[in-house]
Amino acid sequence: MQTQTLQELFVLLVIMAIAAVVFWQTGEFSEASSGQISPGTFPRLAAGAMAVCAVIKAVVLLSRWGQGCGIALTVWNRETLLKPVGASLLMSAYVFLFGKIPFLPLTAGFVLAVFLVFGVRPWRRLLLGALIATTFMYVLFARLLSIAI
Amino acid sequence: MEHLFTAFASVLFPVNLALLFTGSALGLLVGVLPGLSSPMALAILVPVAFGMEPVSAFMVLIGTYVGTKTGGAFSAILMRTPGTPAAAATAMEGHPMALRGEAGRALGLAISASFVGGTLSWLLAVPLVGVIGTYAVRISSADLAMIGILALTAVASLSGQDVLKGLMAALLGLVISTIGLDELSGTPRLTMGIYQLYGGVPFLAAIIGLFAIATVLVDISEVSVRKQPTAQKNSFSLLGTLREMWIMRKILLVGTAIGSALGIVPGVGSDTAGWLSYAYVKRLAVRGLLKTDRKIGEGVPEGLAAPEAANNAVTGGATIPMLTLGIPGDGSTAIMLGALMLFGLQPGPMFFRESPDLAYSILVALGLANLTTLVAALVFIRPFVAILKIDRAMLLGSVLVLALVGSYASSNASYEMLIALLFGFLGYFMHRFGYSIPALALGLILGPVIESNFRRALLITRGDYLVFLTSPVSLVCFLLILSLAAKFCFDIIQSRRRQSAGEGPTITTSNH
Amino acid sequence: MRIHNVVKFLTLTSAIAVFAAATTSAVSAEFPTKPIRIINAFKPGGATDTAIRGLTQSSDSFIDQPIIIEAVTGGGGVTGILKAAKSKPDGYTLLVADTVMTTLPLFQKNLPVSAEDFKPVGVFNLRGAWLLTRPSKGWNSLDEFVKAAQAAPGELTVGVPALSSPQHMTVIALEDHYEIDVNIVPYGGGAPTMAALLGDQIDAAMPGAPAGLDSINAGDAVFLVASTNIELKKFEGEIISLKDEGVNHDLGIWTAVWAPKDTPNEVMARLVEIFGAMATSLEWTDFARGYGVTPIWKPGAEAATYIEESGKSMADLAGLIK
Repeated sequence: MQTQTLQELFVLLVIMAIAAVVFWQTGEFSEASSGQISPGTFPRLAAGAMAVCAVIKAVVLLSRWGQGCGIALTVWNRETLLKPVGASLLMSAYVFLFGKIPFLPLTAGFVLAVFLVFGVRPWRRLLLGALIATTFMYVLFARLLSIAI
Repeated sequence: MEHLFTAFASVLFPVNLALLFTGSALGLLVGVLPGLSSPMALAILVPVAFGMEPVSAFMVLIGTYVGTKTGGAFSAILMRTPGTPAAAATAMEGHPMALRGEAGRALGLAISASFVGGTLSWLLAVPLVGVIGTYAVRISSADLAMIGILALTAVASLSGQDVLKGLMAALLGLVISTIGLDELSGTPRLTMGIYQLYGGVPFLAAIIGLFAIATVLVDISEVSVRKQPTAQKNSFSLLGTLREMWIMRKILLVGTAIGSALGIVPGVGSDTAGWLSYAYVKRLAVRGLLKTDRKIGEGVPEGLAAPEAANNAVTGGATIPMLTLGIPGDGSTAIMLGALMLFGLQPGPMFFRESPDLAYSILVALGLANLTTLVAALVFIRPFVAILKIDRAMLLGSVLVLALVGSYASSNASYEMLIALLFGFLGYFMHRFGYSIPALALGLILGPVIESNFRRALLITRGDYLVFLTSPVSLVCFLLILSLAAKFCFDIIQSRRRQSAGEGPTITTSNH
Repeated sequence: MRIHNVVKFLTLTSAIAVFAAATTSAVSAEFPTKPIRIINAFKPGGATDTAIRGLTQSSDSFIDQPIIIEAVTGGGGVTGILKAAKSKPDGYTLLVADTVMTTLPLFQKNLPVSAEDFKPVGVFNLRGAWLLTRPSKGWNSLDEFVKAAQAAPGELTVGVPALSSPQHMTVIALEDHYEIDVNIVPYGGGAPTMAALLGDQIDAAMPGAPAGLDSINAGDAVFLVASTNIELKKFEGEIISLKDEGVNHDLGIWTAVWAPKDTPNEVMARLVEIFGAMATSLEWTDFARGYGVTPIWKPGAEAATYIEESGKSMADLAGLIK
């Protein structure tokens, strides 16, 4: 229960940090002329309101310390993390290599790896599925939509 | 009126009708499959539709939008797993009916109630769009700013159980929307020196990340327990269904009214409409006003028909602010608005004047899509139910590739893939911690509406803040904002009191 | 068996890709031997996109290879312009861009790309901005508008589609020439500007023609002056330009096709020939007049001079912004 509250509080801290960055980044705008609002005002208002909400939320959470925070949360373990983390790494690699490796081999490799991580079995199905998905992507984007890939 | 007929002719043009039908079928399929939702399908489809003429593109998008609302009922009835969040209420009575061996009857009712709800709300929306469209040019910058603020308040305070989190998500959307060159002064804001961000965060890439990539990441981390659809007869008699519909016409009308009204309010989507109309039927049942001897929860047909009529009726309601003011009614319409802007069109008061062909075609297509969805549902009901057996892992994996390549395809710039990926991570964590993703998306769209209109109004009046209270529209908005804010404060205090009274924490379900 | 097939398929596709990459780099004898790509850095369906599509629709009468328009959007146009600048200067990747090429650096410092990175193939059309007002205001000429503005300094509101746009500059030119002071309100697009005018939220609007044409013909808006001499097919009145009124600025919104600056001269000459033929074809001139832009053709060096002059005008006016 308390780990959940701690996780929640951490998220709220991140939100406050974002608000702080916005304040810091919009600092240098000068106040504009008659009837005008500085370009920094609106982002600051939004970020400020966001930070205030985060503080209120944090107070509410702390006052309920030990009772849990209310969301059916998130057990971070091998079981729940393997697939999203694997997919994230693969996607990052795909974005990084896009344009450096030709589309077809890159996409085929990506689809194959994602299916593998997501647990598509048996092998026959895995390979056939990857083949179909890659061909579909190629036909759709390169042929039908004539995107230069 | 003349434009409306021309638009009918253009939508009835075989190619467009075929596209609308294809969209409906696709929407049904997406709706049937748990884990794929309407905004996700639209986000992935926009880059594909981008290669077409605007009218054709919107035939596909609108067909899909309407189709998903009906498709969600299939899996809700057969597996008690709503295919879309919108169909969650449908499962309450639909699944017991299926267990009783009345799956066919339930499916028939769901399909026809959806059709009735969608069509009636469209009939309601057309004159309203016309009326509001005529007056829309008279709506000033100050009014638009106030409408935007009202919409944002509504998003935050009505969208979920946790008001503070909804508000934070919407505000984060606003902050992100200010990235880029400031429209009124030309200064770059929050770009951190990255010139790719000068034009702002690319909306489509962000949406693809939030609704497609994030959803896949969330879905794949859940240990899936596969439920096989119960094998039984899925067919139904059309005549019997029609007779049943006539008997419960009053309930259908109420469902439609609830859906249409909630559709107009930004941030309140089909799921709320479904639950609210289900609550209405429940109340009737408790008072013994239903013509049935079954108890609620045991498969009362009325409790299935009302939410289905309501969640489809949302399509008509959500259209009104989208087409006339350029303000989206829900996550899906926000994406369609984004698509309009990608086509270089300016949704808003001038839309019907500047591009009448497209504007009226969209309006007509929204009505006809109910018909094509009905036909598609009748034709494809069996194969789509069979598709429920498809390998989920394979499906979700394919969505990831489609999402990444799709985000590249619309701009031909590879940094947009990176943006999509980053927003995917953001969406994943938001979902995991119960922050509403649609609220963030609506914030992204509403941000510029609020900010530039607010500042423009001050520019025109040379800094006179009274401008936000003097016109009738602004004043009404202001009062509504005040009352929503009051409700919001009341809720927080009450939740604190409830908690100090020793009541257990409430379980929040986040919707996507 | 299946695994073997997949491996074969993968090797085959990579082989094809490598082969394709190798052949395309071979030097060609007769330009063009492959499709020409034109990058449009702005929204598809917008004015630039429509113009270049209209221009290239007759391409098959002059070359055997297709011309592909590719929209590379984002970054306020910088993404697409940069992509074109970085592409191989072989004449197969070109850029279509308008006045933005000269106004962008006026307001944005430290851009990674500028007009210096390109050579113009030619300027092929000219659009104008026009000052419109409402009949209820009672101003039927620029003179009457100027008198009203002089009587109430800083009071009249004039809507423009965007800051630092040629439309904005045109209002600045008017302010400068007549020594008036109006309240300039940017609206983020031609359509919202017209909406504000028709909704009587502003006193006058300066959209880019032909936005507002229907409203003028319907009697909902009154034409006062245009930023340059433009031809409009469906306009029933007479176009009076700034020059006619004695304002010494020609603030037309031109659109040009550009090539990366290291493109060899013989390829440039061929490009000028090809695009010149399209720009003077009947298909284009008809299309342009129907759409509301003036078809012109200023090739190579002539275009460069024209663009430079227009850029100077803009820069002068930008310096006057308070």
